[in-house]
Amino acid sequence: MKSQYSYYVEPFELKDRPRRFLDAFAAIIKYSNYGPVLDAYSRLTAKCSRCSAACPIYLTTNNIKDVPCWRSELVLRVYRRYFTISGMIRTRLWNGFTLTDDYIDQLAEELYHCTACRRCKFFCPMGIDHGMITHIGRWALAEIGIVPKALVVATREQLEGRTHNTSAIPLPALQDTCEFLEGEIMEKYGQPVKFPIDNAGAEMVFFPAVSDYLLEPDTLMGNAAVMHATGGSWTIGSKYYDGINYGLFYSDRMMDRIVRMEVAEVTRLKSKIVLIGECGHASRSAKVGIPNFFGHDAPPVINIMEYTLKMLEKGKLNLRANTIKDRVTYHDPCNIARSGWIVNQPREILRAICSDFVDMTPNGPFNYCCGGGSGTVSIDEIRKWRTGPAGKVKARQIKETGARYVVAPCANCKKQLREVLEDNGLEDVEVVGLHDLVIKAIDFGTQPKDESRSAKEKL
Amino acid sequence: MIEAQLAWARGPLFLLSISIMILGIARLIVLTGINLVRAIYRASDKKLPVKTLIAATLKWLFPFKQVINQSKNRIWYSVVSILFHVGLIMTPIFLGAHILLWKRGTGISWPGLPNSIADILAILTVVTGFVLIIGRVVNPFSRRLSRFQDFSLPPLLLIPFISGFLAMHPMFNPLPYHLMMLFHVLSGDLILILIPFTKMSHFILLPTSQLMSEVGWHFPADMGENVAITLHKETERV
Repeated sequence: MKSQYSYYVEPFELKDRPRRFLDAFAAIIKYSNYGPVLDAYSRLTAKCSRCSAACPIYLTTNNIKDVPCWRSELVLRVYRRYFTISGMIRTRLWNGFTLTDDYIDQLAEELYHCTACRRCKFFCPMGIDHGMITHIGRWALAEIGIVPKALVVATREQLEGRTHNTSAIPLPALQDTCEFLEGEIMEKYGQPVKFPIDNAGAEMVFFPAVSDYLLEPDTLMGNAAVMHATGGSWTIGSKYYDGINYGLFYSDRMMDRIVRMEVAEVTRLKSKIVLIGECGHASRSAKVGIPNFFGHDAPPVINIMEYTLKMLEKGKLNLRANTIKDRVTYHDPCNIARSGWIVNQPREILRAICSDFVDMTPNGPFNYCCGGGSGTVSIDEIRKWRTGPAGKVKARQIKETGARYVVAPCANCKKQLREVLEDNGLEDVEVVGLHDLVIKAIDFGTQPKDESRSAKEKL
Repeated sequence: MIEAQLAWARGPLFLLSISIMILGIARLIVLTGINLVRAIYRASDKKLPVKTLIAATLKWLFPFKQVINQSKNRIWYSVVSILFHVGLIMTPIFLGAHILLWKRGTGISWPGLPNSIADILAILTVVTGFVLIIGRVVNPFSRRLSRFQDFSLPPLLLIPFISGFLAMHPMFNPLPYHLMMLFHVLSGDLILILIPFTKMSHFILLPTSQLMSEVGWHFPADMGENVAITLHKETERV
């Protein structure tokens, strides 16, 4: 398959692209809150290029196209020209910028060379959120049909397909997997851990990145074991069991629709809490999207790591100290760490079970992106770019820690980091989820037996 | 002749310039206020992380600690830029001669800086300003990022500093006092006029930028639906 961009796109309408792009842009500005933000940004931007040193991609490529401010200007220029009075006057006077097909192609290429990790925001004296500008630009592009095929195909299956999840796992296969995992835990740990499906009335409905059922059995086993050990009231919904939300990466319209399916499933099962598995963007899209699209009636969103730490602190979960003897480091997924939401929780859990935990520098909200952020990890045809320019800095960071395990509680980061390590000659480092390690350390013997109490009380 | 022009530049033209600046800024404040209130009103999730926002705003209004914390990130640029801003803000406001003018015109006055310190600040501004200009022109990336105003504003900002300093120190001044003052006042007037229309408006908009960035992520609940309707995509498949 040939594509004019570095990623594959499905065939799209070529006629009248600039006008349709502007129509989409106008609609987005009108109905979202992005308009005033773009207005403020286009006034504020000072082009100091201080953000350049913050971007892991720029640090590797040293290419002006990877300076966040340069990329943002691509979008801001369109905004200034077509949506501000001064832009219109200026164009009349000096015959300035016009949106062309070539320019749209440039946008399509450049906006997918940003992982929208939003690290640069912390380094911008003007407080400009370049990740948001990437986000807006991609949405407008998506409305004229320019979306990486990998993302749109998965979203199509999730919203309109038979299986309603991005990996197209049918329900019987899911049930089989869960049974297999139950057997596996029985065999390894001797515990009757259950993966409850459609347990109506449970406190929490569990939405992991659905790909975990295929690729990360250890993480899921860890999740279920924690639930079992703490007597958590949880369930997997049979109608909808996917936490992945590619809408966050290319279209808020899709994000809206996907989030609604999550909430519908929670409502159907008469549950109260959305429990997201180890996945960065799933957590953020639910945490941001659910209150945004449902207002005050929105069910609260928690991440499994928050739950595990709460249980650990309350003494409901007994973890054996020093279970993991090898050196462990922790990779912060941008989507949950940048806002400071989940930074310390996993570290405290890790410190409780590891004898040799080291942090990367920088870490926490200031971490470097794994290089696969904003859906680029799903685009297999750009792997060279992901593990090269986008992943070099991360590979160096991991190497410097000398760790044996990198804990990355995010389906996307895991896939990307494995590829980064492979392509950068660090094969002996293993990428795992947080709960992969937690399950090894759970002391099932001394669990208190008060499973009747609801999870919410404990929370 | 030049004296008459100087009187005009410091009188009517100054009044006009400062009126444009004040009205322009007032417009920006009102527009930004309306935008923010409207955006928060439309958003269905109205909970804002107020403490974080205030902390972030203050951090960048007084970025001294930021520079130390981010010392690996273009430290020299940051230090020079901060020094430039300190001089740029302090000198015109706290210069004794300017305060006298304000007192004569409006009756309001405030304590000023000793002239020697004002001199040092002016020199500091000019030197750091030149460093910033050179940095922007010499660095190929900065040069390509820059728009017309990014190149033209820093030199323009330096003219009143240089001319003011020379006017106050006759022994360095190559031109007649009144002519130098004319440059000083005219360039100052031009800057005042340009403030609301260029990136210089960040001196008033900066405190809102962190809040703006946060508000962008708070959507109206029906946003996706409305965009779909506008683009006739309600029934279109993904």
